Amino acid sequence: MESSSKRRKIGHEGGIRHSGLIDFESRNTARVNAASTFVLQTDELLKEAKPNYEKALHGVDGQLHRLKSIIDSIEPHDPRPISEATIKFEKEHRIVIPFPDPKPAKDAPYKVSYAPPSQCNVVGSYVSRTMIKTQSEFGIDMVVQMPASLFQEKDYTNMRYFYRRAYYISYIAARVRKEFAEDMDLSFENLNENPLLPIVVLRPKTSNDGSDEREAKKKAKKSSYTIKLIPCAPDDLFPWSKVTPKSNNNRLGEVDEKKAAQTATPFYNSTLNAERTFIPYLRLLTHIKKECHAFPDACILGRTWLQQRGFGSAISQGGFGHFEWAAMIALLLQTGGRNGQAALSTSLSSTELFKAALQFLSTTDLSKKPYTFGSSSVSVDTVREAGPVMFDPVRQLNLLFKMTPWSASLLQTYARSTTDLLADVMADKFDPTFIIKADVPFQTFDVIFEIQSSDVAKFSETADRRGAVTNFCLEAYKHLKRAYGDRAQLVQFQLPQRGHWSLSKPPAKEVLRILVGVIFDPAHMPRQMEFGPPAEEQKEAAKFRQFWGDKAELRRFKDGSILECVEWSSKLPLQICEEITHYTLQRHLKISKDQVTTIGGAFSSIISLSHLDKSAFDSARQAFQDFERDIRNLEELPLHIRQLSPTSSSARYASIEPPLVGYHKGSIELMDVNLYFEASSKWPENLTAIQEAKVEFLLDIDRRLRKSNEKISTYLGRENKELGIENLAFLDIIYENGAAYRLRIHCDLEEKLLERQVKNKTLEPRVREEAEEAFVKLNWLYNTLPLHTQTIATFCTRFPPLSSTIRLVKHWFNCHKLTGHIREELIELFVLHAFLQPYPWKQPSSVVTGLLRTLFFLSKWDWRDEALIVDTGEDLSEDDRSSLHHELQTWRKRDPNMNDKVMCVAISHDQSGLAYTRNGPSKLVASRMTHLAKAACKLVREKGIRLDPSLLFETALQDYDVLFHLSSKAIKSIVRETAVESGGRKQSQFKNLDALTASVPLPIRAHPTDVFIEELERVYEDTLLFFKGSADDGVVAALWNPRLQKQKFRAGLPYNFHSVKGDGDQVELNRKAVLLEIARAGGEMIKKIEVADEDE
Amino acid sequence: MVPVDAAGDQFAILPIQMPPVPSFPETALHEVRIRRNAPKIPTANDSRSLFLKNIPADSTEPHFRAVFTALVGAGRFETITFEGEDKAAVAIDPARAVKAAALARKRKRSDVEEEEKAEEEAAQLPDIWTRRLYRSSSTAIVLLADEKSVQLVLKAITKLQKTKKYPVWGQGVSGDVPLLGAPWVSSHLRLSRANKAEIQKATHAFFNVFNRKEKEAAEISKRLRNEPDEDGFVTVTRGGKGTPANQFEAEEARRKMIEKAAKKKSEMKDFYRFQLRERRKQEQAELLKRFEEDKKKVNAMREKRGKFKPET
Repeated sequence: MESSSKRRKIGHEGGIRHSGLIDFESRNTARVNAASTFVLQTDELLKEAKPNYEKALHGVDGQLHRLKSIIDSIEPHDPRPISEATIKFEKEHRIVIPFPDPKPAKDAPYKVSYAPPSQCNVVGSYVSRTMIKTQSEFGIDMVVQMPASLFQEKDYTNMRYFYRRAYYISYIAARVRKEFAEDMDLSFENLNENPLLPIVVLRPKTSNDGSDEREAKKKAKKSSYTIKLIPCAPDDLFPWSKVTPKSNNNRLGEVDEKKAAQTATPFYNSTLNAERTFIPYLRLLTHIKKECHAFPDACILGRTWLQQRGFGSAISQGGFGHFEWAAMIALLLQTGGRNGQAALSTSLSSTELFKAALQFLSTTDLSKKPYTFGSSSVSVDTVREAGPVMFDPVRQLNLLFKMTPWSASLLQTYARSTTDLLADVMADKFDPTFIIKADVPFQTFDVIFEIQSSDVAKFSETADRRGAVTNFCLEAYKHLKRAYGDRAQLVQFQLPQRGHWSLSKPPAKEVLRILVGVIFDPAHMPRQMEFGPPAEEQKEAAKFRQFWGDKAELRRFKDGSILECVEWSSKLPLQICEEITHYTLQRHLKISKDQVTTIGGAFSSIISLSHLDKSAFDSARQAFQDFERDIRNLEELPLHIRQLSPTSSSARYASIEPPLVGYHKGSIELMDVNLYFEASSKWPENLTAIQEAKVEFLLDIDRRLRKSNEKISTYLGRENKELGIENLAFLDIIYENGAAYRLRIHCDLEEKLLERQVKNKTLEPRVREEAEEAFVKLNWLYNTLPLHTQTIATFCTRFPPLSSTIRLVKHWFNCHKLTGHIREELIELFVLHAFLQPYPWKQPSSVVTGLLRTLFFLSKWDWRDEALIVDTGEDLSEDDRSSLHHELQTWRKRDPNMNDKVMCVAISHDQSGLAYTRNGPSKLVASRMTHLAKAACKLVREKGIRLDPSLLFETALQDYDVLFHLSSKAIKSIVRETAVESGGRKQSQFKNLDALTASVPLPIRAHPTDVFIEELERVYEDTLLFFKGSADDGVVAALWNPRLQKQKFRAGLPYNFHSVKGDGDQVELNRKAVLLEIARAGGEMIKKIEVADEDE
Repeated sequence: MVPVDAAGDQFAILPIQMPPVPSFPETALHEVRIRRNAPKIPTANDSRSLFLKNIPADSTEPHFRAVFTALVGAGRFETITFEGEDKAAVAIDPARAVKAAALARKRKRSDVEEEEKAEEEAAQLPDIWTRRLYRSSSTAIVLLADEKSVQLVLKAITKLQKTKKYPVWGQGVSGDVPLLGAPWVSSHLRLSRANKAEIQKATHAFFNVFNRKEKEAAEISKRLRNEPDEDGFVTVTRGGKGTPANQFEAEEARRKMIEKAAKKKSEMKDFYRFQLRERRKQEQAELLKRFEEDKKKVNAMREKRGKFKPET
């Protein structure tokens, strides 16, 4: 023993370490302290994301070398006048030189020439090895630096630099095409969709020789890379003082000469600036890579993050891509801190760098105040421009010159949401950050408008050559932003993408087809009135009038103020937004209504949502308070009332139909109410006796109530239960004004007795099972439901779109006939979860986003090994969570087939994870739900903005074995019949007479369809699985229990069987007989029973 | 068909023709399995009763009377008892009455028993269904006139295999069987809206029985407390000489005790230095454990392919 310990000492020179001890020096320590799962997961992501350069980009180096030598070997030519050179070149090579608009004038006095580049260099992510597998294609950037000798001093003005550049690149293209004709396709493209910068793109041709097609395809897919030839300017070609954002350098294209001389051309200038920074940034990035070894990984993480949110360097992708990300981090590693120090340390890990970068993006408002790295001598005013600014003083470039104001705010929104997520201890951080594709339009925006117009010519005539569409968008953005004000959190423009074009053709004309996405501020969007300044402030008022035109009017309000205001005639948020958009575009940009299409408006018409719903719910709750007062005012009750709590969905803003007090369509909607008494020792110590005592209590309350208020009518209703340990009766109380309540009494002793019976091992198992079932039901009805109702009601008032989202999602479940298996309270939790943990987005701000994100959550949620934790009280600790997780694991270990416990859903007031899911859904139903949600999400993603919302709600009936078509006529007549006292006066067959005689229908225990299906479910528990939607749904579907196979006869078989012909003792399910039984039981309620063909 | 040995334990098959229904215009043969009744605890009527398995869900006595009339003619069928119907009346005994009754076996006079039974029946609530649907494939026991009828029935069933003249369900049903379908549901809904006076009466009857039983139980336990049994032991029963202990008060006392203990425990936390040290150690171990768990989780994710691949 001793010797072995000695040996160990020798082996570890640093002293003995217990293997379990935390080594505070090692790199792992930080991970233990930090949220380590996220770090481990990103490590794994990094491993997966990196492409195998050897394999994927095989032979690229060779190509690049060849390309370089070709370019170097192009012989120069002497300066020629530009028009002459152009004509000659185009004739000779059949290449249309991609001069940016406007084309150079024929009589332009200057000459163009060609000289070999001063250097050829590969830059970008290929060199830094920061590509990722999931990129749409691998782009390899090769810059060709044009020699300074080609340019003149004044070339920065009037697009002269860009004309020369275009000529230069075409000249190279001509030669390269000749050499690479065999294996590369050449085309022109605009660098990052910047209309000033045409470049040449080389794509390897797919070779189809010899190998069969499939292999070729595979190959082509793998090696889809492009080589981009980018001409760039030599260092210090033009002094920066000439091309600051304030200076005006271009007068071409502007119609009005005078105006042209004055307006600054920041975009033109920055583009010019950026031309000479390729090589300096390459140097910077290489330097930083050496300094900070986590830098490339941080770039990969950033690239993934940006890509999942649809960001890229191209203008239509927001103008913030991998390069900007890398440069930003690099600069933060060098400067940006206090006193000229670096903001970030080079010893940070990649995840930390990533988090820091996001933090930086989320806290810096780039559009409002220009940001400069380091405390440089450059003053803020010199670099200020209309768009976002992130200025690098060393290389004197605004890194974000391609970004638009809206893309900057979208980026910031995403960054904020992700930093929120990373700070949220409870949420799963990894998937929303890197895995989920977040730029699905409908999941992001509350409404999308499509603007289509062929007339953009007037926007193309500006000196700052952004392109007509961008100019239009900038203009529209300005007006819409002003028009929405605080109604919208975000207004986003999606520009059309511009592709490549062949060498021999001019580029395609721009078309105006823009998508405008709006994220509402749910608190403000429903406002029907737009308030302006008071009338006394004349200047402001004039501005307001100028903006709104005829719509503006002066009004006096209740509080005595006289304000300018605009009133909108629509009622729902989405329609108000639509109205504002139409009006603003028409007034300021002359875009008529028919050029603007609203996409996604059809969602709210699926169920009739109205702006009056909220007040209907509110008044129902108000009416309940009156009822509570009436009950509490009853005198001399034997016990004191502790609490009255409503449990219906209409009491928590969550029923599909809003409660309509005083108006009943044939049947009466009652609000379930639980009555709690103070604890008492007077209850009998026997469960059955307690139930009887409760009935006595109800009768007693009934007598007192009617005595105190003669206009109340009451009915004692029976539960569908025989005398036993479960609740027997309830009291229906109907007020004159139509408010109706169903009262049940809670007895605390009942709970205790049941609990004791469950635990009592001396009892028969059957008794204990019964007791357990009763206990679960009691717990649900009297403990969980009231709390749930309270929680949901609170959140519905806190998040305005929650209520209507819940209702729409319930409708979705109804349409897919899952309602019978998934209780509505569970559905409410699903929706609430989508609101509480909205990552990677922000909280849903309308019904559409709410619905789609709930579906998205359902499609993602792997209930097989994840528990859903809805932390409504924000009081679940890390330990609670992990214990839930372990709980779920033990369920799965014990019951791998998930016959019993399927979903684990926990909420602050119920941490068992079972309260909501004990009675279903079963595994089959749960997987069906996931499948349906997945299908819906796929549809949403594939169709994009062309989505027809009603498709999501279409019932798929072909998947079921049997369909029972119910006769709505028969069911309606049952409702009518039971709504009057038996033997009483028949209800008139004329509807308007009913209203006149004003007979309030009597309450019924449950809807006839539900009663019938409930019976069938009891009878055929082991045979059929019924799927039903809402009670008015005409079709009930069913599946045969898949476990019922042919088997040997025994006396205990739980289903209707018949012997198999010619197979001795074997029996099987007698399907026809079962259906006949149901048909007999249903009588005229069933119109038709439809059986699916067996072979299908 | 295999000839069935009707005499033994074997089930015979009694096929019943199910006529078509407008909503499902097809016919089917329903197979009821039938054999002599031989319950574990024999009763006097076993020899003249039959055990039926897999009866139709909408069975009623008139239905089966018609079936048996078709088989062996009228007058043989006496009655039918369906599964669950013979279940003993619900135990409405107070908790202690059960215990006490088990200890003291005392026969009551039969007339008293009769009276009590009537009382208990009055305590039952009125039925809210006009007709029951039985669980699919449930059982029933048919009581025939005599032993000979049993023989006849079984013989008739064997004969059916040859003639194929199966009895038709619902044919020749005499008497008024409550309808199913819409009238059935609507009558149920109407019955669920209970008559208050009736319910009041039933609950009163219930509490009469309940109170009487409680009183009896109290008496019995009082007697037991005073009487040693044959071995000389006195049975310990709940409740002291004074008022009997109440469950509710007992619970309350227990809760208070637990609270007190918890308070005492919390005061002694972090009192000694070793406790602090111990706790820190524990925390560290937990940290490590969590790290290991995270690792495991990530490994599990890795096994599931595609977890680390950003969606496109």
